[in-house]
Amino acid sequence: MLTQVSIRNFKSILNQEFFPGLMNILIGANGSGKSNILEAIGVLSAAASGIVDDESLLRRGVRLSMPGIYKSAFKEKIVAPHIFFEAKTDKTEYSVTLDNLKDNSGSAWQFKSEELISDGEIILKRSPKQSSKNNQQGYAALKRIEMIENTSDANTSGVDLLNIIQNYAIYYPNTPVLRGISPDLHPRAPVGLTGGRLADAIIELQSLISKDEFIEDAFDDILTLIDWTNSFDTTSNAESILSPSVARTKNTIRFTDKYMKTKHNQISAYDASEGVLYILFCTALVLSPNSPKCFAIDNLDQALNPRLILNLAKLLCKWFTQNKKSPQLFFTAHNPAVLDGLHLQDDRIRLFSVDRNNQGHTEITRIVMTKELLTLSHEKGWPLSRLWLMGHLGGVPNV
Amino acid sequence: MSDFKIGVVVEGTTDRIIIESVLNHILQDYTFKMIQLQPEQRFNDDGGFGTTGSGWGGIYRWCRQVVDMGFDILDNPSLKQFDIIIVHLDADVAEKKYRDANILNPKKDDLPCVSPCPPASNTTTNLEQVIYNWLNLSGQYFKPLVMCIPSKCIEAWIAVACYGQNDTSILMNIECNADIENYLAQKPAKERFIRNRKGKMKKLTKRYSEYSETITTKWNYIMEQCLQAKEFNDRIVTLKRNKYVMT
Repeated sequence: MLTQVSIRNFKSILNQEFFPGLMNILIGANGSGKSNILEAIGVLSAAASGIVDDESLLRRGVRLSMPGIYKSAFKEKIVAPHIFFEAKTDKTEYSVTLDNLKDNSGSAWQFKSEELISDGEIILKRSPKQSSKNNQQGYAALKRIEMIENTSDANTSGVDLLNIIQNYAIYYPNTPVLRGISPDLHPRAPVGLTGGRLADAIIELQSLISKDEFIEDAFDDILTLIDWTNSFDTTSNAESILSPSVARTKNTIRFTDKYMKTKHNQISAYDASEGVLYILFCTALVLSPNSPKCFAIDNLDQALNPRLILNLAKLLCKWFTQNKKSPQLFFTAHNPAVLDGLHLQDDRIRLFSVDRNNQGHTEITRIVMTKELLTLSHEKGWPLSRLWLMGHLGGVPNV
Repeated sequence: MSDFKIGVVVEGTTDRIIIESVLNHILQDYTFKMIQLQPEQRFNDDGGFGTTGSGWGGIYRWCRQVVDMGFDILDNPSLKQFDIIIVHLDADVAEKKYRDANILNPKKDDLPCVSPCPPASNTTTNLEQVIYNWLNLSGQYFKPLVMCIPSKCIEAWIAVACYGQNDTSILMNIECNADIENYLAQKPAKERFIRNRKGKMKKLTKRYSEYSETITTKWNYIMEQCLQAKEFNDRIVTLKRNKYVMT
């Protein structure tokens, strides 16, 4: 699990470090820099995989910008020569300094320095002077292969950190893809970045139910969030539930509407409420053994009723804290209700407000649930959702 | 991390713009994060200003809401993380009655509280005490609270910054001039901060934003003309100094 992330000179982030937990929620005004934080980890991920170019960034869900946008260029500051990223786990740290090209040729970014330290030992160190050759190639990715192949040099902490970072991606589901009527341009397992192959992911998870009690219970938990259906499954034979005019994927999710008569109560993902699809999407990502060990979901709360997102947040907290195999999640949200579902007394669940200061620099502040805040929230009737709207937590626009 | 986290409680959006411009001067060597605590915008917006409303009545309701939270404002768990909380109220509120803001059962019947002007400070001192009453506070200075009470209104600072050097007549007893908003509304359309449409005044946010840097650059001159500006400046400077002396 990443325990510390540092970012310098990337977009609106001049110099920030923060200490994530297992499940991390970022709240902030539109334009405060939440997505930039997620994208910073995305660039770091690409660097740890050996190359930072448009293709590797897109694969991780990072928005492609004009070259001049990546590097911070605040009015009061001299534009820094490099962009810096660092991620740490308890025993390992990986840092990289990059320079993106100024033209729009789509060329790979240049590595200026790169360092991997594990258990106090320097595994890899590359300084700007050494970077003139192969400067578009990251060495950590090669080092990882070397570490895996050379069993005598099996530095598992170093390999683990690189594994965590390399597979990171930012998911941003959208309804047409979740319904299966638009292709996912960023396919991945278990689900694509915009929600493709959801039905396949559900099939894969359902095949694990008999072997994994946690997943079995989780599937039961999901039904507590959906009040209009009493079951769901998947089918490869969608003729009876899907109009012939609608595009379809090989497998389709099928829901049973409990209010309708038998033979009229089967509906497909295309016809179902979009809320349930977003819930299943989260479920697939959080529970699937094929998910990245660390990933982000931008706007987790879209299309969800406030009460539903509150309960989904509760459920996610339960899954993240009870499942020993939980991945690390970063997500952004705008719906205040999400805060009231978070079990912030558990240090693994961390809430961060993201704001821009008077010079426009993005700042990340952890909101710690103190005893006094708990009293305010639970005994005096001022829940976090209300405090957020009131501005007390930060993370609101000055409008 | 910013040097200061500042909460602002203001009558309206344009007041926040002016105060932010002023802080950009006073705290020019520092970074700060400013969060508007009042007016509180509703998220499921119908165009209104949350549960407290805007204007001076909104500030009264905000103060009472803080009291209702059951903590002294200085111990409030979610407010004590602010280094500075600025409460802004224009001095012309001293002439109002609670009923004007539809406040039927005020905490104390301490409005109106206007005193002869000049000096403006007698009225602003009274008004400060009124705000302390709203917050159930008794004394004078409560870190991190900073009162910002321009007289008669914050537009006096705009008038000084934009017109003071070319129209010295406006500077005469400016802090006792109750007609500043009309003065600004009568300017040519292209430089108008306030539009008067059939007696209904509308403050133009765009114009306030455009001139925010003028306020920042001319703050020393504004302070020379407006004692309340100097008072506000000195209080922020004191807090700034205290923070860095203590740390």
